[in-house]
Amino acid sequence: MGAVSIEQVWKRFGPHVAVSDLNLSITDGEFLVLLGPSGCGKTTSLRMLAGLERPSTGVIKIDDLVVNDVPAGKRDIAMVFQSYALYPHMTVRRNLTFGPRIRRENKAATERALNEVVNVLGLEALLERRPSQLSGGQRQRVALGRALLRRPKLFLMDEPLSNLDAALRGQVRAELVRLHRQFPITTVYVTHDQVEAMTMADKIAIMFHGRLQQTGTAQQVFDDPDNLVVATFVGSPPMNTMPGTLSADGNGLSVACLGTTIPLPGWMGLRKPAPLPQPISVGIRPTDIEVAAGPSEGLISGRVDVVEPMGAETFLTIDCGPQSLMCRAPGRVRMRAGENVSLTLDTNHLYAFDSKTGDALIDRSRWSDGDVQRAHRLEVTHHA
Amino acid sequence: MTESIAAYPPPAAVQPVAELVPEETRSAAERREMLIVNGLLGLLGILFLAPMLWIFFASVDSDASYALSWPHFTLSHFREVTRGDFLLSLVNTLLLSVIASAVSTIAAILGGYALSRRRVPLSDELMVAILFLTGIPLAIMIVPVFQIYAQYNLLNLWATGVFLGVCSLPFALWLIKTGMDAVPKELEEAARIEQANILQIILHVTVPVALPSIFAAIIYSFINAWGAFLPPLVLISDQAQITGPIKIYGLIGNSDIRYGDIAAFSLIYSLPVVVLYILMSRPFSGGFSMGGAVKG
Repeated sequence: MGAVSIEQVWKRFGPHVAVSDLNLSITDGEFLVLLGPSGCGKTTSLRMLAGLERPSTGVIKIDDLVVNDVPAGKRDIAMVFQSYALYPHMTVRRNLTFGPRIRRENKAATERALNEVVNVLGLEALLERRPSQLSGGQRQRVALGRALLRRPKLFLMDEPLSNLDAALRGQVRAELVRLHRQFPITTVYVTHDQVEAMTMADKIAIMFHGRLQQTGTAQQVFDDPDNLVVATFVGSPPMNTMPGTLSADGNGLSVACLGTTIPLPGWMGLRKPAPLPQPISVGIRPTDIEVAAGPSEGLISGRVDVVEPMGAETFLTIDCGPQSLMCRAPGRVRMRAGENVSLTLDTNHLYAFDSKTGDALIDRSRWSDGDVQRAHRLEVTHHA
Repeated sequence: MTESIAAYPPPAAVQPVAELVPEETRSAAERREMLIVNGLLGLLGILFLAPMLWIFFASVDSDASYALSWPHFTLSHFREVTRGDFLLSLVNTLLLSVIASAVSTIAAILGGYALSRRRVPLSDELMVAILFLTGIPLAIMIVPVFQIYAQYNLLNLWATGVFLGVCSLPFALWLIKTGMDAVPKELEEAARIEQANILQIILHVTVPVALPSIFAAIIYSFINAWGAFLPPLVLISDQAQITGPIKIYGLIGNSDIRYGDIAAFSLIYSLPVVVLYILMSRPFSGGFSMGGAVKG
C-alpha cells in the first residue's frame, strides 16, 4: 500500500513560487522519477510529500488519507538524502537501527530486519564502522539500508546518486532497480539526470519552473513530448530546433524549414484544430538525421562545423545556412570539419511546436511500430 | 633565498622551504635575522615561564618569598594547604563551577538550538547584542546583584553558581549556536522522518554532532567560575561555603604574606583545570568530525 495523490498543490516562499499547481498521482508500487533542472521545484515537491515542507495550498494524499497535517514521522515514509545524512557519531549499526530505537520497536524484530537489510546490501563488514570510515558508495548503501529497514509505504529519494562517481553511479542504478523489484515499494525519485530517469523509472514526471510539464514512460516522453521544454530537455544531445512554418493542403501536413518544404507522413494529424499555416518551432533529434558525404541533388546541404568522436558514434555539428544542426553519425565515419554534406531527415520523427506557447501541435497517437517498418525516408524536395 | 632554491630541482610541495636550503647557503643577513627573532622569542618564553617556575620553587621552599630563588626543600606548605578547611574550599569551588557550567551549558544548548534552527525575529541583531553583553564588566553588576541576593536571602554557594553560569551564558551561547549552525539540517530531517521528537533530535543528533562546541562552552564556563574571585567574595556569606580564590586571599595577612602556602595551594588549585583540558582535548579538537554526515 502506498498510493500517492497530489492535487493542485502550490508552494510559495514569500513572493517566490517554487511549485505551481502540481497534480500528480502515483500508483502503489510505482517507481516515479521527478526529473528537471536544478531549481525547478522537484526537491520542494518531494519535501512536501515527506512532510518537511507544508504546501501553501492544495492537498497531498497517501492512500486516500489527506496528510497535509500529518507530521513527517507519522507518514510511514523513508527518505534517502542527497548528502546521505548519516549520523556521524554513530556506527553503521546504530545508524541503521536509529529509527526503530527511537520508535521503541521490538528488538528481536529490528534485529531480524537489520540482518535482512545487511544481507541484501552486503553491509556485514561495515556494521561497526563510522560513516567517516566509509567510501561514498558504502555511505550510499547505508543510507539506502536505513530507509529499507523501515519497510515504509513510500520511499523518497533526493538525488541519491549525485555524489558518486560515474562508474559507481551506473552500478548503484542497477542495484536500485533490482531492489525495487525485490521490495516493490512506491518510490519517488528526484533527479536532474535524464539517464537515471530513463533507465529506472516506471513513470517520469518532468518539471520546469515549478510546473509539471509531462508525465509518462521514458519512451513516451522521449517519443511524444508535450512541449518544446520537454523535447529539448529529454535526450542527449538535445533535440535540434529551428524556426519553420506548418501548413496543410490536400495531401496532408507539411513543414517548411531550412529553405525546403517537407511533407509529413500521413499518420500525423493535429492535436487540436489550429489555424494553418502558422509559424512553428521544428524539432528533430540528432539520431533522426542521416548524413552523407558530398552535396546531393534534392537533399538539404550543409557543411561540417565540429566533429565530436565518441567511439561508438560521432556527433557532427552541421552548418545549414543560418541554422546549425547536431547530427549523429556512426563512430567510424570519416568526416572532417569544412566538408560538404547532405542531410536526410526522418520525417516520422519531425516535431512541430507552437512558436509562442511551445505546445506540441502534432498528434502522434496513430504512430505505431508497424509504421516504423513501413516508413520510408521521404526525400526532401527543394523549394521552387 | 629564491636564487638558492632555483639551483635545486623544483621543491616538493610538502617540504618546508627551509629544509631545502643547506646551512651554508643562508646569507649572513638571514642568519642575523634568525638570531634576533629566536632571541626575542626566547626572552618572551622566559618571561612567561618565570612565574610558573616561581610557583614550583616557592611551594617547596621553607623560606619562600616573592623572589625567584632556589628552594630550601620542604613539604610543609603542602601539608598546610591540604588541611580540612582548604580541601573544603576546593570542594566548594568544584561545586560552584559544576553548577555554573551546567546552568550556562544547558541554557546555551536550548537557546543556541532555537537561534540556530528556528526563525527568531531579529536574531542577527540579538546575537550581536549578546556578544556585547560578554563585554560588560562584572564590577558594574556586582552591587545590584548583591542587593537582590541579600533581599531574597540568596547569599550562598548555589545561587552564586547560578549567577556565574549566567555570566558565562552569552559566550557559551555564541559558541554553541555557531557549532549547531554547522550541523547539517538533513541530519535532523532524517531523524524527523524516523519519528523522533524535538527533544530526541536535540539529544541524539544535534548535541552529539555539535559536541566540540559544547565541550568548549563547558570548559569556558567551568574555568570562568573556577577562577572567579569577586562574585564568591561578595555573594557568599557563609564561611563554610567559601571557595579557593577567597582562601588564597586569606593567606595574605595584614603583617605577612604566606608565599609558600599560596604557591602550594595554587598548584593544587590548578590541577583540576589541567585534568579537564586533558580529558576534553580529544573531542574538543574535533574528534567527531562532520565526515560522513554529508558528502566526503
